[in-house]
Amino acid sequence: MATTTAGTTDFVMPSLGADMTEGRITEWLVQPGDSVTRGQIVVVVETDKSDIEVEVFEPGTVTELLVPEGERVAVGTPIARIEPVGATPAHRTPPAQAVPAVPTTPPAPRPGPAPATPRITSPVIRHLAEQLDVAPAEVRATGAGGRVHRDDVERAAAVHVARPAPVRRAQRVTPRARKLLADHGLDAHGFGTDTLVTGDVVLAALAAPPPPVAVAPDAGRPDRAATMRRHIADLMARSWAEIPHYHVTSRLDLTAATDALTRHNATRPLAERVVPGTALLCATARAAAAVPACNGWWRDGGFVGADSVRLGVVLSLRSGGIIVPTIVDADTLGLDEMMQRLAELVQRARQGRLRASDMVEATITVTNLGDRGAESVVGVIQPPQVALVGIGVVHDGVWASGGAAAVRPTANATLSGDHRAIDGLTGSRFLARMQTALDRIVEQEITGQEITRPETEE
Amino acid sequence: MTSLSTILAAIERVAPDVDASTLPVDADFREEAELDSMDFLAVLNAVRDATGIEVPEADYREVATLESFAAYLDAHAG
Repeated sequence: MATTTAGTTDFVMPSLGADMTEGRITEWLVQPGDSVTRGQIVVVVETDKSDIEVEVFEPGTVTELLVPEGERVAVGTPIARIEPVGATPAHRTPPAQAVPAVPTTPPAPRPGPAPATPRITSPVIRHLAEQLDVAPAEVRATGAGGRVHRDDVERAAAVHVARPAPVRRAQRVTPRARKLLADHGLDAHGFGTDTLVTGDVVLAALAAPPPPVAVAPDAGRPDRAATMRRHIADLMARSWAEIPHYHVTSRLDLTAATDALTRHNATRPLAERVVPGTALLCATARAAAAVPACNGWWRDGGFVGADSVRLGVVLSLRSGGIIVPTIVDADTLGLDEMMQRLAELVQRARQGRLRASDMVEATITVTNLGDRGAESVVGVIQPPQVALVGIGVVHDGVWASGGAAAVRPTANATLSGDHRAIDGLTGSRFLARMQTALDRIVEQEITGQEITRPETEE
Repeated sequence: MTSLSTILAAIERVAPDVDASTLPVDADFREEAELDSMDFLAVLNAVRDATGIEVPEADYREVATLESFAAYLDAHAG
């Protein structure tokens, strides 16, 4: 965050993914004058993959919102001004309606439009936009030379109708108006915040030319499934082309772990039960702490080790596609904490409401096929990381023990490694440490020992 | 609400893309609805919230199908 005038700090559009270049403000959760605390979610940002809730990390007071809802800006663009706690009040900037600090255009009715706001030159189309309460900033111009066509405006308006937004605090709607809106399946969003929305206002709007045919709820938003597919395709293709992959595989013996989990779950209420995959995530994280050569990034022709384990976890979305949020300090978590973290992430990912803190860059990634996948998965590394751990389904396997055959619960673990950074021996050590970590978790769960970092290799 | 409809509602809450009424009642509903272990726990939690009945891990096998799950709930009700 850059400091502008003494006392206020610019809150900028964050980067919420390695390839993110811009984000769209979906919803402001604060207004000028609100005080905010550390970790408070202040804005929801739409990206290709998900709506992300963005938190602030310093307490303060919001002085100005610079970018309105619906507008798309580049990563790094200031989107709000926040006065940190203890800043000089004399330099407080005036609230939202004022001209931004560096004006290049005459004052606009909404705060700080981005330079790329389409200009509606045709009076007829401008009238239509006013009628449908569509702001120029919300319109995506498809005409040559950035001209706004009629259907660009109608499309922007369809987003209002089809995607009911919560009534903003400043909006005033009479009870009769609410009833009329509800009867017609509409919401008050389209009326803007300037007018008192009465029953007559609603009736007049209903009598006006009908809005375009209602489209799917995601109209106007990027087609997430297609965008996600494209993103995955690009990333995987780039990884495969740039990174010289090698793979090592090992079978994990889950006898002890499965027994411990069964005992653990037997004494726990439903809400506190742990799924088997949790133990595998813990083991992966601890192996990464024990073999730091696998925990970091390939940058500028060299390996850069990380000082903590930020475990990327591949989650399959039910609608198709994958998303990879991050669990920070994953190697320090016990089974219960890891389970809770994972459950939260799965829920947020499914709802499309991940947080910025869920999307920090990972140091190593794991893909666990869970219960209904193949027996092993040999994955593609997520650049710029240098390793990816793939774990197949837990299944009964024949295990040679003491010269005889036994049946034990097992899982195949594979490490895909970047041969520029690590070689096969290091990868093999990683897998061995996963087994050790798995057995150690079991010990700790039974004896209730404190979790300590396993001794680091080399 | 019948036990069966409670279970169907729980499945649809956890997996909104599934039309639970089309699931065969005598098949493993986790497979039919493509629920993983976390989803399954979430379904059990939702059923517990609705009925107060908690299924211990040892009984998971008894609730594998919709009809056996419903029978289990009826047997443990009250």
